[in-house]
Amino acid sequence: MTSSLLKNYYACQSFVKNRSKILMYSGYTPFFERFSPCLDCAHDVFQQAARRVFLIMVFLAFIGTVQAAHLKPYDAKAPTPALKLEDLEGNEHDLSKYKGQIVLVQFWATYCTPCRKEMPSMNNLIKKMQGTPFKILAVNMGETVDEVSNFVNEVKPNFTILMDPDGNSIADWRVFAAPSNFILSPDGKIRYTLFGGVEWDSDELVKQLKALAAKN
Amino acid sequence: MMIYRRILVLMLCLMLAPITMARELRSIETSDTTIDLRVFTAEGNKLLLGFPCDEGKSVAEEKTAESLARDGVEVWMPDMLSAYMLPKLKSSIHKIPTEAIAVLIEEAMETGKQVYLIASGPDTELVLRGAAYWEKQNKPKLAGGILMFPRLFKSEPVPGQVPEYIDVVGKTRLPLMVLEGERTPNRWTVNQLTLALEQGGSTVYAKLIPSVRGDFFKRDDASNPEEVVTMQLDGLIKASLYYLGSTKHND
Repeated sequence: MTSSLLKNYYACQSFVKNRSKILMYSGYTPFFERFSPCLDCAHDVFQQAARRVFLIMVFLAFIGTVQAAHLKPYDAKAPTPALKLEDLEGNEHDLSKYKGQIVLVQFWATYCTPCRKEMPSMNNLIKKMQGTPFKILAVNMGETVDEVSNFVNEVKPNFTILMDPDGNSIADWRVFAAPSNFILSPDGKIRYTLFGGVEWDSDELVKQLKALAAKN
Repeated sequence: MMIYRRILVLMLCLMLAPITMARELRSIETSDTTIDLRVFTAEGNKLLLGFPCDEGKSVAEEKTAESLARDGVEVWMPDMLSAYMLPKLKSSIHKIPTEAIAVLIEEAMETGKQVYLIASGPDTELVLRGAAYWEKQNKPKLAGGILMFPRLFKSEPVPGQVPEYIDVVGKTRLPLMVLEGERTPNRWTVNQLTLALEQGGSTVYAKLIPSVRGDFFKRDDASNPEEVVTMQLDGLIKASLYYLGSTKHND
């Protein structure tokens, strides 16, 4: 038994270079004998595998971020739904009054983690869009004024937060997840949609939004 | 020092004793694998066949199962992912064969109890697949199904477009209870899902659970209301069983 374990152990050594420490495995454990040549080597192999998995995950996360940043062209023939809601101060905002501007209509909620994460980048987007007529209308999905006010005090968005306590606009705009984003061109038509959290101040997105403004 | 250690070990043993007493491990053979399941036996006439899908991480579900068993509801929790050596991914759910679910239902029905199915999130697909398959066999009827914050979209929702549900939605007549968290965007899709489920002939009940997010009992960052509702999960399930048990099947 011991000899077979040692044989496995030394066979394993040839795979693991620059080893300075050798641990002897003396006990008999059927599990380890069956699944790994020796305890120490198993540890190294596990570490190598974990490192590879980590690198793959980082790569996938990067790819995912890049892919998520793409706006999806919107080809629906239906007209843009109406949007007339009050902000936190009780002032009414009518989407139709923002014609002539690029408008980002976002549906969001305080419990939505990606919504929370991306809001600082939306503040930056406003700065990067300076000189281009641009407006963000962020529609909260059915929460109370208290819940939203607490969130606003903490996250400090520099754009208009609209309240939709009954969720009527959510149905009109066919929103099924958060954050759901619609980009409207200056003629008031929906040109792009985007689902999920993104870095709104990325060069790619800013370029796309400015190009949309230049087209009209 | 040793004496303290012994007392500590003794106390741990005493604390764990009720858990180990309530839980029984069983294996069921299918044509292609062996499914291990945790069984929380009970004297009552209701049996809840749940699909938590992974052994070891379903802590809240286990506590709920123990509590239900104390109240007379027997709970079976099969480990479907391990049985088919599948990773804990949403896509793994599609790879679990419907025949395996049918074998579990068959075993549960043989106890002579009223059998209810339960699952949460994307795992709810298993309830619908199992129920639809079982109905085609013309065997004694299942009593109902509980779908906790079901996630049954075919693909990621596109803003402005009505999303499609997976094909099995609307294929069963089983009475269903949909439980959804109030603090999730999915609460706005409950009506649509209810209508889609009713297409198969099911009577569908839907309840919004106030102040909780989806998967609230699995979250590490649970809020106070979520912790409270987690402790009351057994009560929610018992209420659901009551509704479903008093519902006539649509033929």
